[in-house]
Amino acid sequence: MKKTVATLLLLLAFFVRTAVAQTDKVSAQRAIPPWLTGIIAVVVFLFLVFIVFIVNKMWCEGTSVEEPAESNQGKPPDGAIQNGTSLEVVLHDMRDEGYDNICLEDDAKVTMTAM
Amino acid sequence: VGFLSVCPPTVAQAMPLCVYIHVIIESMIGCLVFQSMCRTNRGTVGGYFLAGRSMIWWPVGASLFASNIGSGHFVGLAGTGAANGIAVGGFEWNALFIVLLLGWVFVPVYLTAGVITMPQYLRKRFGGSRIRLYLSIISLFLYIFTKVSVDMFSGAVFIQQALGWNIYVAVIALLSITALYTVTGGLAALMYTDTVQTLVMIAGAFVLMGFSFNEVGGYDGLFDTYMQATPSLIESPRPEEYNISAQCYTPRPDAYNLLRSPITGDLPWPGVIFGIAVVGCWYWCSDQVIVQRCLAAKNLTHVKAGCILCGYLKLLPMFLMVFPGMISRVLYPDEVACVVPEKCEEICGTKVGCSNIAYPKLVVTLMPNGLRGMMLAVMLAALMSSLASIFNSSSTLFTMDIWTKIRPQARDRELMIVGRVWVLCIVAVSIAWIPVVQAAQSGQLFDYIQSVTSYLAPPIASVFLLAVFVKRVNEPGAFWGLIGGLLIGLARMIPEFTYGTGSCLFPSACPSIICGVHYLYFAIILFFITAVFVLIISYCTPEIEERHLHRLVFSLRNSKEPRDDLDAEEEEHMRKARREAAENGTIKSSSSPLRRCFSWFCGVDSSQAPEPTEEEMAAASKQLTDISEDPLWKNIVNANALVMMTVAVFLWAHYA
Repeated sequence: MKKTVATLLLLLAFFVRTAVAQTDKVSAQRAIPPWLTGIIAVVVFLFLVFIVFIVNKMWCEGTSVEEPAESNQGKPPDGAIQNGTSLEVVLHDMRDEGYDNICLEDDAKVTMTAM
Repeated sequence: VGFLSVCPPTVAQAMPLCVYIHVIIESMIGCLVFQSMCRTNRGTVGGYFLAGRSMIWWPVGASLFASNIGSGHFVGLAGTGAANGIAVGGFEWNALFIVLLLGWVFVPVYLTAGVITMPQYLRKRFGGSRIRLYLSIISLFLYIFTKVSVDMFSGAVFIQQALGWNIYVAVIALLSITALYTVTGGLAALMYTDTVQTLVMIAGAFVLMGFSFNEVGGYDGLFDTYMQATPSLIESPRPEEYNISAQCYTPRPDAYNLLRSPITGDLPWPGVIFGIAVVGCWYWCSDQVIVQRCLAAKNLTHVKAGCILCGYLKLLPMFLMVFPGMISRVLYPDEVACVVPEKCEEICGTKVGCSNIAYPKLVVTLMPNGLRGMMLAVMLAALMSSLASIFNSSSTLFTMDIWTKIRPQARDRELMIVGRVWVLCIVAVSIAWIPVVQAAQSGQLFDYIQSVTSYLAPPIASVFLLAVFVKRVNEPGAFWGLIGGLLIGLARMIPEFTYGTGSCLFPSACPSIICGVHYLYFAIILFFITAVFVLIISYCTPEIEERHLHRLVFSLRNSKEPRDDLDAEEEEHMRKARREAAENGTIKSSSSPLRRCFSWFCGVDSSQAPEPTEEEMAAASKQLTDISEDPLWKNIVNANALVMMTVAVFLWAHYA
């Protein structure tokens, strides 16, 4: 989900940049030298990556704040199931781990996958 | 053996250096093949098809690049650059982003799914067997008739121009050498030799680029003189039949732009950015040749690092092939940019145009004698590495997807032998394809190939993308989406081929409602139409339950829960059949030394390991499907990817 957002953002960056490039060409051939166009594009790109990173961090922080509350509620039911299958408890633990992993993983990933 | 058939005996000075270079290259390749033969266990499926899952990042990256860049790139990129300017480099630079998509999104899913081939992944994801069969067949079709024929055609053009030799002799020799080390070595040998061949390709191409730029007066010299590179012969010899308009022989005014007008451009910029991304999605993310190399890596971090290396290497073709192509037009406008059909036929044997000889012409006329032999080595390296990869991957597809269906009781040894025999079959088909290549030597084969890919690949890319990201997509949706996409693609492809694509002087008679849409736009449209089909049909039919989808979709790639495989029944049936075959059959010990020698050479284990138990299978698959990463290296790799994207963005904007 976050990755698709990042991908869309990058595509949007391309779109914006090409539109800019096209109008530049039409108006004045040598008004902006190519290397400057390149630098402007890089700055815009890095800015967008930064924004996506911030958004992702805020989103992740939002869900992880709710996490401890959830797992606290989850604990007593686990204890209740204890006399039943221990397998379910193990699965519950792994599921929690799974959620954490996804968040952290996506967090680190988004620094570079704004594509 | 290779150098004798390839070093020109006529040019006395070229012989010694050419021979030395070839001896060095062939002995390096031989050493590597021998070493990998001794080292990796080629007798198992994992060992032969996936290099034992032991490759580190730089053979992975080099192999990705070498499998992708064939002689078709040298000839095609340079030729199109000569004719139309730098926009064709967009095909290469677009791949930088797609290759990151491969490493970060698709390969983790393929790894946790624990699959070897792409049809196998679709089978696990959707269940049923028709999608797998359809994909295997269409992939084999696309390999043989697009990748192999393009590379062979280009290699043939080069050999003809450079040496004036009989195509059959040269191509048969090439194919035999390639088949030999594919059949014996398996993927590990291929990936190590790809590394050597990448170095050879890049070194040689750099040398030629240096010479070309020197000749034309440097970087600025090229851009100052390209616009005036017109042939001297521009009058029609038969004005009553046809007139030659100026636009057919003058360079395009937007030749220096990567991004061109969406309506009048020959490569419109929405097509270049999104259309090539769609086709690239098929080529890099869902095609067996490329994905197999990523699956052979040690762990996910090595995959990602390999993808980044490949991305950086993909920056080079613009400078190594497109620019020299343009330089060739500046230096030899009468030959490369010829426009009168009779004159063109004289020069390169085809009436439509001679832009395909741009790169070979540079090699033949510009390079000093000794280096000419080296450039030939470069072209051979490109050709052989691509062909070998295609042979190996198609053999994987055939063995794992088609043969196991015909004979489920086939065990490792039989699969190995079948895989190797299939390579020989493909070589035979490729040799039989040479007359077609010659007949189509109208200079349009490269355009035909781009078109074929644009008409047939987008449905596959669409289905794969949806399969990985959208859990709701199910088997009927995917299958009917693929079939619908295929029909639409054929509806465009068949009329266009029957009418012919025409040329600047004699445009095609194809009605504009069919052929008017640019093939890159068509790729985008087809992609979205297929996606809509798939989604509509999926929502109208029952969904696949989540218990079947753990570790098969991107959102569930880290899930640790047990998965109810949709193909579990068939797998169990196959394992039972194999166990029965092992119990009933007698254990033959390879008695004769000749048999043992043959077995070792082909890498087939004479002693068949006993069929693993369920626990052993579970333990093995857990190790293979692990996608955890060391956090430090993960961050380093991610930072590198960001740097690479920044470089790509800069270059795109610079040349836009």
